Amino acid sequence: MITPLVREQILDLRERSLPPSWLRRGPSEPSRGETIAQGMWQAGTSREFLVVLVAAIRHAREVVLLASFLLAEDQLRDALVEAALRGVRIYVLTASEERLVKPATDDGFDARMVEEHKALLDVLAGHVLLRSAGHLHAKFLVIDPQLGSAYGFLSTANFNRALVESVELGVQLDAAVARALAGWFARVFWTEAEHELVGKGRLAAIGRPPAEPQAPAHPDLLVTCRGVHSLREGVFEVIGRAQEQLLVSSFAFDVDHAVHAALLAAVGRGVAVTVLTRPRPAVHRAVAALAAAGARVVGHDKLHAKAIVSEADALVMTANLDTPSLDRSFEVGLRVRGARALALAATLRGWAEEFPWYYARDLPRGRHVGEFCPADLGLRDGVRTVRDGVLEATWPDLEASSALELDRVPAPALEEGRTSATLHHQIRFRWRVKPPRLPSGASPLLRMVMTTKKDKDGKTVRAQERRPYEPPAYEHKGQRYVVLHDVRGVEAARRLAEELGARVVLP
Amino acid sequence: MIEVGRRIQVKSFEAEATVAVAWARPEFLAVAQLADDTGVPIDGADIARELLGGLPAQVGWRVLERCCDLGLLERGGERGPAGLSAEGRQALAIGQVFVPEESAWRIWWSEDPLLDDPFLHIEQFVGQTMKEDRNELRQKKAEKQPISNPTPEVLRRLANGGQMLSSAVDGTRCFLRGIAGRGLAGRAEEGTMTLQWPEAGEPTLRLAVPIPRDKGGKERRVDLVKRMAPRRFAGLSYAWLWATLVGSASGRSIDELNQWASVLGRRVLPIQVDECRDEERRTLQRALAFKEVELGPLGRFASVVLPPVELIPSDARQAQTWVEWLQWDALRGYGVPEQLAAKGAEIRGRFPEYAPIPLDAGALLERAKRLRGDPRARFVLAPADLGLWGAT
Repeated sequence: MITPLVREQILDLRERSLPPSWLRRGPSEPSRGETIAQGMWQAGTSREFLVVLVAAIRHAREVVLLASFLLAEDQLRDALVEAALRGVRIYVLTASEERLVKPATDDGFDARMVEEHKALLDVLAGHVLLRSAGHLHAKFLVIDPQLGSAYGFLSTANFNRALVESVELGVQLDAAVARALAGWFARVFWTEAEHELVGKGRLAAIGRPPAEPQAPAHPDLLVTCRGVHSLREGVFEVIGRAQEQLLVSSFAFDVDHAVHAALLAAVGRGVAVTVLTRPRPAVHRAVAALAAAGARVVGHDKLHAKAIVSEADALVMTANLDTPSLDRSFEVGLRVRGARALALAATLRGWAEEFPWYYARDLPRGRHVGEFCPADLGLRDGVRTVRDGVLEATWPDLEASSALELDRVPAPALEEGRTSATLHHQIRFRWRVKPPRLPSGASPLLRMVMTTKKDKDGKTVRAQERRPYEPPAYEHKGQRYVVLHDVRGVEAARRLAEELGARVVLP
Repeated sequence: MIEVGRRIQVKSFEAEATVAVAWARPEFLAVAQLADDTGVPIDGADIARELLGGLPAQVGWRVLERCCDLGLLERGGERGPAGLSAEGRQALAIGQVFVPEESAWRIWWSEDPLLDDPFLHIEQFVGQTMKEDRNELRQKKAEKQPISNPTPEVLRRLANGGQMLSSAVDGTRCFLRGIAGRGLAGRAEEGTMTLQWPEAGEPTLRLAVPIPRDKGGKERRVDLVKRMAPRRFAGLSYAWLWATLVGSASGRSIDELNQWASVLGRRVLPIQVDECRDEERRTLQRALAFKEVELGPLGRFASVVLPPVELIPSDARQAQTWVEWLQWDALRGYGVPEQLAAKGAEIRGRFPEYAPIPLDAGALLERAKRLRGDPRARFVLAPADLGLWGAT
């Protein structure tokens, strides 16, 4: 009997481009945390920077100024309460309740962080004087600004789990910078904050201040706040002065902001630009444009540090390179110099080498093995995998038009499935070509033959008679079929099919 | 104004009496006026000639007799000329003639030390039906009550005193010229007597007493105003009353209070800061509470309404403490030194009797550091710590 014909073909996808993607080149290790240089830290699991911050609060004598968009760290909380109980005046600037009611899922914090933040505010109520507003994004700590021993810390990390879990930077501030930063804290406290914590869960609107503090000035301290954009100008200056290299780390980018154009211009004039960011859909357009221009783009699942380093300048800041941070929020940045600048550059270069993701557009699949994430998707649910080797796959059966022509059925247009989270370099598709079958409901097709027979008088007469074909033929919906019951009847079936214009089928 | 009050009893009595009630009778007043104008006793001829247009003197004598019956004129014997009586002089003063009526009367009165005149009201008593009288007698016999009572002494005095009575209810004037020896005592009712004494003015007694209507009518409570200056008020003053009340409520001696009032020219209660509640410290006033007070010749009063008394620090040290307390209490918002100083000066102005020195900004800051748990501390600490104290 005639059996289905088995066929196979390899679909070679190695030259097919991946979509614009973040490609994994190593594991996403948590930030270890370490001292980068004297007075400069990378936050991480070593908790070095967190320990320094807690110790600073514990040793405060009179005043602590703390600013953080989010605030939810137990050791810091305990240190603040202890300091308050021993008479230290503690002032806090943080994000407002309104801003926290609807956390953006793509904004680096989740609902749990918000709840932790609110819980901490309840604990601090009565111990600290806390004011809030939606745009207070700066993170820093100033200790005893009115004393000669003043000092402080600028942190790219919110004062919460980010100090341990995220890729962040922290810098210690000397007395002069700390005092200037205290001045900016005061200015924002009196003129930009919108609510004051007056009890557990109670934020009260605040009125006009009795006076406005003077705007401080320090050449190394740059700020974004109402009417002041020295930080934005500083960023432009660093980018504009760069001639050889630029290392740019930011949680967010804004393709429509002038800073983005400045980075593209830097790439255009031959500066080696390396962009470090957190792979997120929100940065897709910006990194795509930078990569297209020639910038190197790498990413880390936990990157939140904000810094720009060139061969001439180094800037650590709380601001992202986007419109809210550079134009509207309260942000601070610090020019770092000397050994700390060199250490910062080395750190960012190290990150650029170690970060687990790099961005690529139009990369042939054959040049990547492992995880990747399309740039328009988030790492949380967008990660796919590319495997080398051949995927064995089955293609749906084909049916030949005639049972006598199985080998003449052409191969299908093979394509890989669209829903798979795993992509392969090659796919070996197998499929069967099956002989056609007589459709149900087909009617026997009869032929007219001349016969002789005797009439009632015994005479032999000629007559027409309807008889089935041999091999049998059928008709169904205008199509004729010749049924092949046995391989020995192949030739007869072929001849009859040609004669009738029919397809040869199996019963 | 100080107001003190107590309960009083209002009694009533029904009896046959002769009551001269004031009526408008100009013809008899003309005779009294003639007697007054003449200045000597007049006779019938005088009246006929002056008032009757030359009618015979006999007619004049008849008029004179009637005026004597009405009490307008009086004479030594039963006949002859008559002169103006004291009652006639009162009739001229009020423009009415008192016409005696013998009838059954009901009289209300109250005996309180502050009331020189116990008489409150009088109404002619409308008799009951025979059946009602009979029923009342039966009931009294059954209850073994006396059928009649002797006339109270106070009413006897009124009948013999010859003084004009004035109803506190409707102002009716009358003379009680005689009253039967027995009558029926009515049920005693309670009323309220209030003594109101304005700081610049005479004291006033106000009575709120129930004066029952006649039988069958509903009781009515009438506010009665009876202005009087009883003998008992002689030598008393608003200042005495204020000092007596404040002294009794505060434990201060009247002499001490009077001395303060004498020195300052106004009434104050000297006190220590820690004796005051917060609101008293803020307002420099105290609303004194009283239960019952004994006011010497005025007697005992159950209720007292005294305007809030002005408080004053008892000495310079207390004044300084008070000013500092008020400065701290006045912290209601964040402030800079200039504002704190202005507020301190304003508070100091409330103590002109002393020379307290308000805390300066630095002293307030030190206090805020000590009282950091106090919610007001932040109003000083935050501006000082956060750049405002050097901003202005």
